[in-house]
Amino acid sequence: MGDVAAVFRMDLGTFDLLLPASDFCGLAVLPGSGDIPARGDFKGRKYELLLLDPALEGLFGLEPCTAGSEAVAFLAAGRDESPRAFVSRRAFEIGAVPLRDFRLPPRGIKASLARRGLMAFRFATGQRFQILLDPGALASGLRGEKGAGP
Amino acid sequence: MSAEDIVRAIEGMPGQEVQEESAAGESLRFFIFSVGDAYFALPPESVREIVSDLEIFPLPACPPYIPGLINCHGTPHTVFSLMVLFRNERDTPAQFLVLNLPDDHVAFGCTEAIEIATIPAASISTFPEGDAGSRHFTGLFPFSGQRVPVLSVPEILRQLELDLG
Repeated sequence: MGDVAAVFRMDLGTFDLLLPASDFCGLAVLPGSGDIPARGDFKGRKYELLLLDPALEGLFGLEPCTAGSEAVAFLAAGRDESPRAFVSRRAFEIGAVPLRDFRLPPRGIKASLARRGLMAFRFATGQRFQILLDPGALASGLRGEKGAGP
Repeated sequence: MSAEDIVRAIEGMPGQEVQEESAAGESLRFFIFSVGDAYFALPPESVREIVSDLEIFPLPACPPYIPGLINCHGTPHTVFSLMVLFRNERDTPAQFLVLNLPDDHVAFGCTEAIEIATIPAASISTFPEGDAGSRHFTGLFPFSGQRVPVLSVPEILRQLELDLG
């Protein structure tokens, strides 16, 4: 009873995107406001940088994120041989969500959404719709995205 | 005595069978509803609940006839727009028919629930086997000046499965 999941919450207008905090081992602010490099060094490790914003814009039909705002790298916690980080310029906040609030997608669309990283939903207070994103599942789609390549 | 017991008892009473049988013999009951100006029918047992005043939460990467999800008693249900599926026209459903499915949560958007009608089996026409244009329907019957198609829920769900790949 009372189990909660720590999440990074991004307000995407009509809904929120939730990234499970436990999928990341840290955050890093990228210096400058120019193009995002393909790789970055954080905490003594080389990370492949995957651009989250274009993927979200394509998936949800969002307006492009304001250029020039500070980019943050979410460092993936996986034990991959090639560490990766998800980079976004979108504002986020850290919060906690009761696990019992999450709902899995209906069976008929579950697999299709999971392939795109959409794992679960939450209908928050006031009917605010929240989508739990699995950045690992999204990663395969992100690899090779324009701007993220070497 | 449960509701089912009561219904069974009522069905067993003399006179009840007269309402269920046409002059030609067998008859079938259908739940008839409208989507815009079109009528559709479903077997009554395939509808679990009718809900209204629910917001549709859009979903990405779904076919156009899936406008999104509704939150029905805390459970997400995939919404099908029959208007988009069959006419390629957008609609704003006033109500949702929550389907009675064993392993999925699905709702059809609808304009209005009309009635549960008893239709003589002889007046229900079927489609030629292999008729691709009618694959979403199991039959057709006249009602209130319209030809009402009977929806095949499995075929409509299969359509989504095919479209999602």
